Amino acid sequence: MSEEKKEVKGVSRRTFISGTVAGLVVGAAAAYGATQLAVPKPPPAPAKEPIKGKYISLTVNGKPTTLWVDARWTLANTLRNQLGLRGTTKGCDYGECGCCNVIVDGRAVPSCMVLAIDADGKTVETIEGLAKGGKLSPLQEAMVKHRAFQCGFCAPGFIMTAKALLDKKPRPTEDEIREALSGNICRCTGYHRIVESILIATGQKPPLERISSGAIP
Amino acid sequence: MGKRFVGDLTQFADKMAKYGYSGLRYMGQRVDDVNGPGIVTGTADWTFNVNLPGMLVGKLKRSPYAHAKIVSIDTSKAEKIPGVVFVGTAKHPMFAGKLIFGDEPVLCDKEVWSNNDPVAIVAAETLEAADDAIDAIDVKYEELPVETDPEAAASPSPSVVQKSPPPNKEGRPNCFYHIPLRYGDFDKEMADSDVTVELASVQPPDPHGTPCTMNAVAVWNGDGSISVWDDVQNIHPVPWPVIAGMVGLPQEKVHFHGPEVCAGGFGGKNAGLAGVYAAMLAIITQRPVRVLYDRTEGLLHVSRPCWKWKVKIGAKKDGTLTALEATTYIGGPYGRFLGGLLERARNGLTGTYRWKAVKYDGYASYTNAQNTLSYRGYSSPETCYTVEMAMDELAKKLGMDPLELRLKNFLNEGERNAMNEIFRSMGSPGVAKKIREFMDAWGPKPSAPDPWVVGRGFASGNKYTQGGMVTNTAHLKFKANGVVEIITDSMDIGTGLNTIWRQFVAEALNIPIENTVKIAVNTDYSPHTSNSFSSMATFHGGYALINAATNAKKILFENAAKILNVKPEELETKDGKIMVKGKPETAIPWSQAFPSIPGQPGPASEMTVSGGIYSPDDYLGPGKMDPATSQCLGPYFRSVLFHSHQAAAYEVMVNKETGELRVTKFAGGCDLIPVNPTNVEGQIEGGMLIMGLGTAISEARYEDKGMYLGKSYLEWKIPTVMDVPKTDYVDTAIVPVWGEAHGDNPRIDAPFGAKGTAEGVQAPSAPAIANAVADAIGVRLTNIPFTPDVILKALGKA
Ligand code: FES
Ligand code: FES
Repeated sequence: MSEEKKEVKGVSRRTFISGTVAGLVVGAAAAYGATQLAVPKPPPAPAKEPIKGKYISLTVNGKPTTLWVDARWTLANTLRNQLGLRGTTKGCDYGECGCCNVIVDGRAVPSCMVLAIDADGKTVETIEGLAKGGKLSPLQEAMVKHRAFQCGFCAPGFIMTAKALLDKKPRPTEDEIREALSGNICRCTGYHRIVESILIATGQKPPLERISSGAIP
Repeated sequence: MGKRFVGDLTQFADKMAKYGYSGLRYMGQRVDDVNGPGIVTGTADWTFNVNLPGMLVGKLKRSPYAHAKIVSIDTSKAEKIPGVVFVGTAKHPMFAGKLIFGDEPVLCDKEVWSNNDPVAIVAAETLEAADDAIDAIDVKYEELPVETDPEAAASPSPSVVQKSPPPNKEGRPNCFYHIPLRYGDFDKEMADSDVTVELASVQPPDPHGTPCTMNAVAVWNGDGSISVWDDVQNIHPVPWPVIAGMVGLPQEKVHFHGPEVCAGGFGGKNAGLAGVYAAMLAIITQRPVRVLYDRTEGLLHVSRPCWKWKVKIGAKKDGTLTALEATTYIGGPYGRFLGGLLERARNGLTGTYRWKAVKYDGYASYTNAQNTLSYRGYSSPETCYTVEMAMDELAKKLGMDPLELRLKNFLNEGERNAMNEIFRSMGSPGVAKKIREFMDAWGPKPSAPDPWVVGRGFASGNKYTQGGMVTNTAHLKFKANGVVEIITDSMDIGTGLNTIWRQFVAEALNIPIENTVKIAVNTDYSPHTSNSFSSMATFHGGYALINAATNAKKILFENAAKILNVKPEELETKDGKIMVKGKPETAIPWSQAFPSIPGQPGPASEMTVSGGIYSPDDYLGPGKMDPATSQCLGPYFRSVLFHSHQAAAYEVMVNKETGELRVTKFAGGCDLIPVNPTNVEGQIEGGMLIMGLGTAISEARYEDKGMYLGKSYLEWKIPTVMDVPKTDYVDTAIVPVWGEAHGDNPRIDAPFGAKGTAEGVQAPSAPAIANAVADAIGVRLTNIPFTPDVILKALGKA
């Protein structure tokens, strides 16, 4: 982590994460205190060392999984490095680009901003869970046919964000689609075909004409 | 639904027939992108996803100052951190060399010239250990005076002399490159003009900003070679030789793997820098190493340079253009690709319009601004920006319609331009008219509630692709089962090249596209075909592939003629079979016509055929250029491969109280024969709705003493989906023009008439938005981007 990044962002990943770990320890202490109200006791002494990591259990793409995670690992890095789910890409590691968006308990969230230890007990859906038995989902299908993406690096995040929207609202308006995707950055496409593919996948626009012969209109 | 116009391609059938082309089977068709399924399932083979067991994390420590003396570097604390495997500085012989053009240290040891210069490097077992080590390296600096203004730096007596010894071009201590162009009797033509317009603009450094930053993986092999996976746009001309040269290995000992699709380039992945550092660390540690630039490095390490322009144009009362005077300054801490930018700017100025006289000077100087790299358009957006604003101002002064003024002055097909080049493949008038048609279809300008005002603007654009830096070879491997493997070194960077190659080959061989396979790129077997820069890939690679297909057909027809007892000219081929023309019952499979091996019965089991051309003369014609005037000498010589043209129109809404700018409608187009219209439309939308739009409205770089704000997507704002017009207000047009590469020298036509487009589409974008803003608020803003503070200031409200 370079000096200048710390300066401008005000908080480095390590400061941010150690802050979160401290918060987690305090939060645990408070919860403990609440269940022990009948027998007042001095609060437990704060842990000298922040925890190094712990076992978490979560459901990933419908499959229950238990694994040990380092307290500093993000959900994004854990999915990629520990669970081998490399479809979740990362464009910033700071919650700014949406590339790493996955669905946690029904909501699209940037997985680079979620600590793996906080995903304990959660249900996580990633891009790997969409195509079933080698068959693309209708959303993915429309995105291929309509050439929604170019380099495609942003695609997993856009698709998971769109899926979270469609799960709640099967026929969203263009404004709702734009609103939902407003946290996702793409440098290649101009967003036009991404939005259009979602409108096509939801039956709100006609598909683009494909291979034809002779003169094209 | 927005409009999608693709002009009729059948008008070119006779020209295509020259290649043995039989119909628009795949050419011009919306074939699905072959990378699509990999992309939407997250399984595309991006370098970002290369993962090797035991892989180390490599990271660079970068300078926090734009210009400083390095007093000391203490790495002792970093070396003791658990998990840290290696810490290096320029003291280590591996890092003591100079990068790219020999003026840039691999790691700085005495002085830093830009605020992101690397000073130390780390390899560690984990990202956390690498981060800790970078923090623990203690560098002491002594700040030095900073100059980031490329014009001030180019002065004969600059406040800071950057390098010792100074390059001192023509008595300008920091200047290392000067490109002049002189055409016609400039003083007379300017003096004879009835109307003149003068305009100056500043365009700040703007990063490529791809979500996937530069990244590479390298591994040391036991036999003394290394394998490198690098997320690059080209392999043979820059990254491969640069990496091999920097680590001191012959190129054969660097096995270079290209990605299936480069995760976004725009010029920012032309140099293979991450690969250089990864390879060095892999050799030192003898472990696999990944170097992945973080978001801040991705935005601060490379960008287009700051451009400062001064332009003066003149015209007669009737709108006939007379003289053009242009001066431009660019700069950066190291030379990199800056010189070439000034050459291409010269082409941009002399393209599109007919001038009686031109005087141009471009200067590149050392400054302490952010480091630079080639950027989409390679000068065409920056050049067109200033000229196209001046054209609108001129129209206003003359009381002419901006389109009429342009139509009056567009160069004609076959005319010589102000560089004495024969001008070919000129589609500006067609595209401009089509875009105007779309604008008219938007209806009258809507009125907006106070304090909003509405404006519309139009601009033309051009991009002239330079030839060279290619060997232009491709291989086709024919297999007995009818499959043809396509072996090239060209990177698909999202432009659809992997699909375009298959379309070319399927069309040229008249086979189902399903029977073609694009083979992964690897220097062990890939020939140097083409580069995904300067929009040249389709042109060079397409030519090589069609040529290979033609060569293969010749062999197949000669062998089949003997079997069928006819002359080779009497044969045709379809779907992997060879037959006598019009007699399908005579068909034999290709495999029977493969060459046979002496002494063995029957044909060989496969056949590999190459194609391409090898002499730059074939493309650019024999001749040269006069360096003092930039005039092409010799009847056919030209400095560029092909000409391409674009146009764009935008409707904007501006809030006069808050300075907010919204883009509400858009139309954009380009002049070419599309191999795949969907790809071309994607380029138009991406070039004009993201990169062009972003440079014009939001991608501001605030700088203080060479320190840039804009280290994250939160500080450096690229447009989001909320900033682009709704889908009903996005119109695109592809106006077909035969991509004649070479004027009256009949040797080279473009492959099936196709030429490149990926960069030029950005060129008309920013000036069209500038013209729309001027139309809305009645004030001409020339410095981009038009952020709210800039707009309010122009309106006298801030
Ligand atoms: S990588 Fe998580 S938001 Fe950018
Ligand atoms: S397709 Fe390249 S970033 Fe979105």
